[in-house]
Amino acid sequence: MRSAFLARVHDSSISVLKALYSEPSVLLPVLQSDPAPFIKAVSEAVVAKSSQVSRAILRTHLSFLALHLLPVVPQDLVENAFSHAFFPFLLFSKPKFRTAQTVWEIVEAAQKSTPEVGLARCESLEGCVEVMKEEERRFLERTRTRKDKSVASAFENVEVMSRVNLAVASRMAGESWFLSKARLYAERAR
Amino acid sequence: MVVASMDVNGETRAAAVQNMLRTLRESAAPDSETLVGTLGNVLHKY
Repeated sequence: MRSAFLARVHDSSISVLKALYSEPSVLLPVLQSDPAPFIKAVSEAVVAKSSQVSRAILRTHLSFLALHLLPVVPQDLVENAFSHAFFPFLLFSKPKFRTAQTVWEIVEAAQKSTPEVGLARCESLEGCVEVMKEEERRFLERTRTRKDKSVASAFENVEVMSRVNLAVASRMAGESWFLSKARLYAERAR
Repeated sequence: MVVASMDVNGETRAAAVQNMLRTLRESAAPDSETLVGTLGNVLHKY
């Protein structure tokens, strides 16, 4: 049955994927004994044909990983899933900003729902959500001051995109300035 | 027509996945006979 579930990960029908992930409490025990092949299959499914994968499909796969599977697997697998399934979608660009926003929303939801495990403990992500939220807050404050209603999302703005991208890339590169900045933003957000 | 038949296939595969999940759920949950048997054994011991 495991292999049948694994095969369905590559299904291009959203109905099939919704069915697959509809009962996490039933699916998780099947995957938990050996979660690595499932994480690998999801990573391949979302990245291999990323230009053809719809946002709905991406959201379905990554939500299951982030909210259900990653909180119950060893941390090295979380880092692996982050690198292969999440990171390819996290950087903002004009054509892909909605996808990036969707994936950041999933990451944020996972960090809130299980703050002690999974993506909340992912070293590569530490402080990134705080930096992103702070950039968004600053942008919205500026647009409010200018009474500018032309931009619906902060992440459509090229400056915000590049600042968030730089912050995330710096975190990946392990630059120490990033963590002090992220901690400052987190304190301000409290 | 092609799109319609692809949707039907998708729905069929989704139903098959749901069936697999149902089988798993039912195999994990003790049915009433097993439960009665287990309770009977426990009660018999005391």
